[in-house]
Amino acid sequence: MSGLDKLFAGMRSTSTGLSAERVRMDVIAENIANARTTKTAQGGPYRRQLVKFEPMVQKAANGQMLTVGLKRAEVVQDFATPFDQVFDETHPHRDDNNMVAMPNVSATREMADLVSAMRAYEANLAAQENFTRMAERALQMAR
Amino acid sequence: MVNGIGGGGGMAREAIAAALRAQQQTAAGIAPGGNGQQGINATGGLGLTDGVSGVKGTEGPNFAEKLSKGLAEVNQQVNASDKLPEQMLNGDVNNFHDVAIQLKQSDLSFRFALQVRNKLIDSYREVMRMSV
Repeated sequence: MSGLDKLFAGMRSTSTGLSAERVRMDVIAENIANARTTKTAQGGPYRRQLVKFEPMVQKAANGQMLTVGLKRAEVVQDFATPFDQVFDETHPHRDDNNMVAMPNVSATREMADLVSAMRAYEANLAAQENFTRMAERALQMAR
Repeated sequence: MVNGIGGGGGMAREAIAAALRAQQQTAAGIAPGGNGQQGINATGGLGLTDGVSGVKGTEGPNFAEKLSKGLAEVNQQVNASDKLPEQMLNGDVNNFHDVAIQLKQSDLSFRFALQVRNKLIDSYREVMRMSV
């Protein structure tokens, strides 16, 4: 890690956080868009997607492990929530009992997730802004 | 009346002195490690004694080397943000905040370099103004 990189370490951490929240928002948008998709390439209805975060760990010069932000946001599928079985005798994807399996996406839950992702994104932005302000104020001192 | 004003002045002076003392105490408190001098030494930042050895002239090339290395890094940052418009047009930029952060980073590092340069020029001028 070079000198300037070390100086902007906080900025890079929040940058990875922003990217991760962005991925989360993208995934939520996809979930909402596919809330009524009853047939996918894998067969069966659309399965709700989730984002799994992992910290980025770096080994420091003294052998200590340091967390320097988020490594990546992994997209996984939600197998815990069952599909919704809805009665619809006209649906093209209905089964023999006129039941259709709807995606396990709940609009309420997605909206709540969206709000939390948005707030987390804003929190990262606030951290970023404060870091910038701190650096600017410190540089002003040199004048 | 005059005494009253004088008394007020004395009080103000005392207040200023007290404020100064308080400020020094807070500064000592902010420095990591708790009590003043020790805390500042712990960061290794000031290097008050090390600065004196620079007079011998042994630090000269080392400083220039460090300066050019730092400038190269700043240059790298600025170049990275110069490439941003091109990258955006190519569709290589995935996030808005990446652009903003890169711009801010190069801005901050450039201003940092500018301050270092200003200080250097100032000290050079001071030396040149010295009467021999």
